[in-house]
Amino acid sequence: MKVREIFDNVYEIDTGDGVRRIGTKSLVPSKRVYGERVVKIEGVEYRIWNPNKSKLAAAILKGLKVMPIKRGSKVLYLGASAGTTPSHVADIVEYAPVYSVEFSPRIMREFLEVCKDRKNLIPILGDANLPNTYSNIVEMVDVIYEDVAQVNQAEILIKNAKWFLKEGGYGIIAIKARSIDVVKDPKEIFKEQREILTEGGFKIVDEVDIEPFERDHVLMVGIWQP
Amino acid sequence: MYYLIFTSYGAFLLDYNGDLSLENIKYYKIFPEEDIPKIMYDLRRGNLQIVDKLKEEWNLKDGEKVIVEYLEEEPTTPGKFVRENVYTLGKRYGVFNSYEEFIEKTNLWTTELTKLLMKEASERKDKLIIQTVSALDDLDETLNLFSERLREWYSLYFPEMDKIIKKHELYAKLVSQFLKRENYTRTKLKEFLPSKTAKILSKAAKSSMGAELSERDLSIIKEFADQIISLYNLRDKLVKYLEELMEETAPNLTKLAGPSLGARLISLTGGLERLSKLPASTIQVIGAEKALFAHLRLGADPPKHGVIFQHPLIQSSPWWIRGKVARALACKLAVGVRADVFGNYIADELLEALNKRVEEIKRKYPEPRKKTSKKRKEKKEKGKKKKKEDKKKKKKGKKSKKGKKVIGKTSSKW
Repeated sequence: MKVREIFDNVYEIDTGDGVRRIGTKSLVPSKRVYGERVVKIEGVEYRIWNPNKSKLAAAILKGLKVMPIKRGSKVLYLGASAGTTPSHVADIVEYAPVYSVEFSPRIMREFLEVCKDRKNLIPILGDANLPNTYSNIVEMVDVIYEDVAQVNQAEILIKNAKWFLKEGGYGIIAIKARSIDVVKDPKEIFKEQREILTEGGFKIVDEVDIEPFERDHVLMVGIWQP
Repeated sequence: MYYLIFTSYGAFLLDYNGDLSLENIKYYKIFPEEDIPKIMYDLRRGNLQIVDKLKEEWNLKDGEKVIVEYLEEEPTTPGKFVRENVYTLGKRYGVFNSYEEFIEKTNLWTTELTKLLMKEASERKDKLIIQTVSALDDLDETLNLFSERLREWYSLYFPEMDKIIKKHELYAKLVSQFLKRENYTRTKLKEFLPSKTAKILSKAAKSSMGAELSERDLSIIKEFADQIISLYNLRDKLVKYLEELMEETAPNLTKLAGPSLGARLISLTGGLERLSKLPASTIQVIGAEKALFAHLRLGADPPKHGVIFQHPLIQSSPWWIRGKVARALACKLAVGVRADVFGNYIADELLEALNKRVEEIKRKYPEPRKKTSKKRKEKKEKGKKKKKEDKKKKKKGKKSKKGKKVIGKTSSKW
């Protein structure tokens, strides 16, 4: 088995079966989060990052060029869900906090389990539409990652950037065309969302369509220049 | 201008008029660590006594304008300044010694806060569930009443339809759609009915013995039918809402019992937490109180199941093992509800174990056990009587009442 670092602390793992896989160094070895595959190479444990379950992994496999999440990046994660992607983000940043906002108490329960093991995941039960309600917890961050299936997801990113994103920091947003408008052409929607983000203060520097892992999904990366 | 900025571990008051540095911090307050989750919780709930307390502590006059950033819709510059220096400030005032400690403590505090918030969420939601269940019951009663009235009323005009269309909702829909007898043509009816029924109904409409009614008479009947339909729509909405609520509040219970039965259990006991404190044996007979007390007082057969009889596992079982299945189900429900209260999700394992157990019961008891022979029955009766008397003696030595005991007929002995 071979390992190659493709981004800071993100690895391409060749298990010899011809499938391209990526993974992250496990922060808490021998613990799994969502039943992912774990491999040990030269004494280091890597967790295989499943692109079918994580849009960020899908985007990386589909050729994301700008990957703002690095070792030591402080991250605000909107829409943490059950913690699949946040756990990998926590692996990448290692000893920086990942402030993870999730709206549903039901899913938060599962996420809390993940936070128990990974101390750098900071759970926040809150509404991403109301950044002031968690302004006493979150500090200024380097990256905001957003994956919320909301109609106004671009506005939510801008709102949170105003509160928490350093100037020159990055915003990453997974846009799900179907949750904005079911009938409209996805291309049209992406164009609209890009405009909203640009007007709001983001300079879009990368954009990846994550087909075939998710349909009508695009991951956009922008630099915050208000 | 003063700005009050909260961090997780403390509050800072900054005097800001353009320039910013640590010198702008006029006052600060570091919270005692054990209080932090509670303070954050109060803030989140809009409980702002702490603001007044701080103002008093810092001797701020009433006239002084203080902007509490936490309540603002837009961020403030001093707020951003504090957020940039959350760790530095904490270190300066001795809250943490290392960055690692900062992260660990923050994780701890926010986890505690989240738990507090979630606890409240599920407590409030179960009250909503109770109301929704009651509303559904009221609605069902009303719908039956109204539908009966509609049938009587419309039967003056088209009596034959009453027998042909059994479902109330469909009946109301047809009245609203067609209203006049001449509209009941086969082709139009086919949209709503299977072709056979459509044929029968259209035929009945042609040769109806109903009285002739005027446009005015019929239009008010249509109005009434429309209202019934809208009530049915409301009912559908309530059911869907209830399902969502249940999934959110009690995922284990919902998975094991289904949303409507789960909701009914919550509503009958008066809350999720109260339900979670009940033993499985009680859950088994919730809703069969009358039978249970008859059993305790008069020695009638004990009930095997209360509302959990609605569960498909019980209904699909042959009668002679229903009691056993009900007991197994009640046990798993009791465990599941407790997990709901403490925020774990274990329903999948429970469901698997339950299904296994039911399979086992089915295998073990493929057919009803034959009646015991007379001799054994007598023996048993004696034993039972004795036991009963023992029990009653224990209960403050009350005289054993001689009720109308029916022994030997029960199907619940085993």
